Amino acid sequence: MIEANDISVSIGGRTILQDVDFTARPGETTVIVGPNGSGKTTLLKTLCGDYAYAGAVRLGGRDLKSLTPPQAASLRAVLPQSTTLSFPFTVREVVALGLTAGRPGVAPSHYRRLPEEALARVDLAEFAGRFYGELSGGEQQRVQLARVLCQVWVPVLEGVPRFLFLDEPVSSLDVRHQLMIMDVARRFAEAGGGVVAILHDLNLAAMYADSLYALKAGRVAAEGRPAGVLTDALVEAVFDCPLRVGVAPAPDTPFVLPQSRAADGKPKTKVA
Amino acid sequence: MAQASLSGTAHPAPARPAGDRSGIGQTAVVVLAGLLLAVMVLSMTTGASGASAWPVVAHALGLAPLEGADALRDQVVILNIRLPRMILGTLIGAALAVSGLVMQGLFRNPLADPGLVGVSSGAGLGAVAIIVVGTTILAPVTAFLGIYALQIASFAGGLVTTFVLYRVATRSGQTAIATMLLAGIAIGALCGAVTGVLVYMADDNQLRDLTFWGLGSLSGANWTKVLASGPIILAALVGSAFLSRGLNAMTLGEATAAHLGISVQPFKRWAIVLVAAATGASVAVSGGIGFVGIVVPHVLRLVIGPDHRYLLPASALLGAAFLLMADAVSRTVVAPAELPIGIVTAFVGGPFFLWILLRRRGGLAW
Amino acid sequence: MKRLRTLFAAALVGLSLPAAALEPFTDTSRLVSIGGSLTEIIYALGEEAKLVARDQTAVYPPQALELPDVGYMRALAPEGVLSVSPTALLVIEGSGPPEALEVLSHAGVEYRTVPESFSHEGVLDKIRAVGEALGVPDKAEALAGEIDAALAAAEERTAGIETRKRVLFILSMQGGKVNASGTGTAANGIIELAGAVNAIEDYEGYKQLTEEAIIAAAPDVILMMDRGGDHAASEAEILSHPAISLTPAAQNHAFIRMDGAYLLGFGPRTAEAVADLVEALYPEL
Repeated sequence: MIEANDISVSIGGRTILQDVDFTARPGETTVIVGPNGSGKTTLLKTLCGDYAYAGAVRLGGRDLKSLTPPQAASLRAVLPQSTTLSFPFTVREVVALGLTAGRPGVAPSHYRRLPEEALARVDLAEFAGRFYGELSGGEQQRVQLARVLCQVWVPVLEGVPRFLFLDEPVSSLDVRHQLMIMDVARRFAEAGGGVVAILHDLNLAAMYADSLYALKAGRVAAEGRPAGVLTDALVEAVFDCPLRVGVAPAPDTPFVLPQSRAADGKPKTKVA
Repeated sequence: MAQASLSGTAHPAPARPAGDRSGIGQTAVVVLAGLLLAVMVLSMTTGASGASAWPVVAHALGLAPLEGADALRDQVVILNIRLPRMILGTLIGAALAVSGLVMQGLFRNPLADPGLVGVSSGAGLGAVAIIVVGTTILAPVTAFLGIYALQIASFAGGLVTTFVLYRVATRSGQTAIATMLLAGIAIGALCGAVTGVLVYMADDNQLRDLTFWGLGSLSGANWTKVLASGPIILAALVGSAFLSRGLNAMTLGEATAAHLGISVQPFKRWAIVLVAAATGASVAVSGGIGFVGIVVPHVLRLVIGPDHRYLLPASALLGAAFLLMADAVSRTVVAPAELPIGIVTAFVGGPFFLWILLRRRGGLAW
Repeated sequence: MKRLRTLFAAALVGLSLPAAALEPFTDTSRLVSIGGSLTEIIYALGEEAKLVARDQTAVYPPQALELPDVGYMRALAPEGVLSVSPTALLVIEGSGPPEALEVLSHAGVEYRTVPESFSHEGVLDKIRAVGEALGVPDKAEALAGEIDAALAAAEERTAGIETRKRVLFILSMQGGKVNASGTGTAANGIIELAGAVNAIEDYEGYKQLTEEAIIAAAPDVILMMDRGGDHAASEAEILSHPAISLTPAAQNHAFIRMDGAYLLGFGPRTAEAVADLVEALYPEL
């Protein structure tokens, strides 16, 4: 359970977040949407402990400020928007970095296989021996997600649910992998863990969010179930863009929505 | 090694999963340890005087009496010249290589070297000050510090500049590495200017001394220096072993390292302290020996990958072996005179490094 | 004053090391000499049979070059020195480093330090000191007496001169920058012995001179060390240097070159060097 009350964050004299209340429950996928500069990443980073804040944040019932980095690392894993690597690690080595961090929660003998399993989950099973720097942006993002998964492999450890913080996890991915990755996140939540994700794609947000927060100018403009949040008025107010919810475009204009994926079909993966 | 999977059937796990280079890392550490041992023996058995090591060692261990006209001379050569020199060379080589590695991890840049924390400019300034004005302006200081004034001033200078740099770069408990880099340039320039003034004031003899100091040498090694610098270097080396997890995490950036459970600010502080101590103590007794800190970690990274759990011990071993070999060359090639060791490390290391780069061009993936 | 301070510092260094007083060596069968002038004195005393090694600065007499070279006098390698199995080590003041000398003394090699002084008496003291150390004080006294007389004779020649020539000793001219000798150097000493005056008195040691300082110094003669090679060309280069060309020395084409060790060694050949320099400075005498 992540609870944040009255969060205000200033960086360099500018107020980025103001009086934000935020709750993310285990077993649910909580998605944050909003225009650029609305403070989404700042909110996420604040919940991760990166920024100084006014207000109260509780992670798993404990005050965020009281957690040491290793304690925090065993409660949550963070996927940043982008990662540059300064030295030539192989893909597997990058993923294995997640093992050293928190507590994956598996038996030590299982450790050796975790990187491979994580890579399989993100559809990069054959990539273990490649150099990270040679991969495309989308592939690198998936490697990072595999690392993040390794860190909190078991979603609920000793009764404590763990969280995935995902900052735009699918921005560089093709549509198939977008759905695949969001499925990974959803499965993590279904197993008892919690997911907090920043998404730009409103359709994906609508598909996967159990709880949706819309931010604008550092404040929460709306929160709740997607159906309740995504209304014409709100979308126009928050995004400054006159879009209609649930309205098909003109007859000759094709549209392909992720929600149109066959209900029973999931993208074929090579998961063992 | 067979492991049961969740479904109960046994999968033989591959010898090493693809992308896992820990096997190479472990092999490298073992091989380098063997190499170091061999070079240590070589170091004890070569020298201009032709003294034989084993009889002296046997005598020291109480195994056999030592006889012969050259007995005293050989004893001094082996126990008071070669042995402290070998120990110092091992420690300093390891210290320089590990410091270079830690700096590269801290600055997340393969070109970083220990000098970036200011320790080299400060140590150099301390040494130059003693050499040039040690008998005039600084005479009371020199008198107080005795014949090791040069070493003490050098070490102190290195620590002072590192401390200043750290304070400049640290605000509200956060050390900005980029600021440290820039401040290092500024302070380096300042130290250089003061050094320049002192060099201008120097007379002929002093200029020669400065040149030799700058080129580095293990020639003055004795037990006093071993006892003075040794424990500091050893402590720093042991301490650095605990940095490997943090260094690995830091390659993803400081924010991600924190998310991975690293206490980043204490980590940075410890890394800087260890590098300053190891490098300062080394430079103080051997003068400026360049090259080891950049090349050794690089070569190893190209061969065994950037996992610091193996890179750290391997760097220490290879740095020590490399310096000992360079030292053996420096004291035999123009015997009975000696070449400053900095010349040898550059001469040998430079072309070798170029060769490695040419061969592995394809492997550089960053 | 500088001499005193240097000696004081050397004495402080010496406090932690065995005494550097000039007591005779116990065993001079295998002698190593550090310092070109000391090596020359040893040969002049006829004691060269004892020598087993020299340092880099020992270049005269030519036979000395055949001895093994243990390196630069201020950067001695202990094992290198020990490799020639010395029993006695005679070093000129300023040799080192101190740690090396300490290790050598622990190895049973006695060492004695001979003070350096760029003067008439200094040369004689050196000779006597070497004689003491080697246990041949009588030979040394005899040699000292010869050199004393020769030096006195050379000095006598210029004793009556009223206007002494101003001499600028140039150590090197890299990239047009003139590195010249002030006071307290061997060059200064030899200039004074030859009855001339050092054109530079403002500083000690060797420093780069500004062009205006060169002109203000107004040397009558320029003195340099002989480095071999094409003398005529370098002389022309130097005299055509913008500042130097305005000096009386350039105008009179008064340019002297002499071998470095000969001129500046302050050893047995110094009397001849002074005489030669006097000849060159005052040809009219």
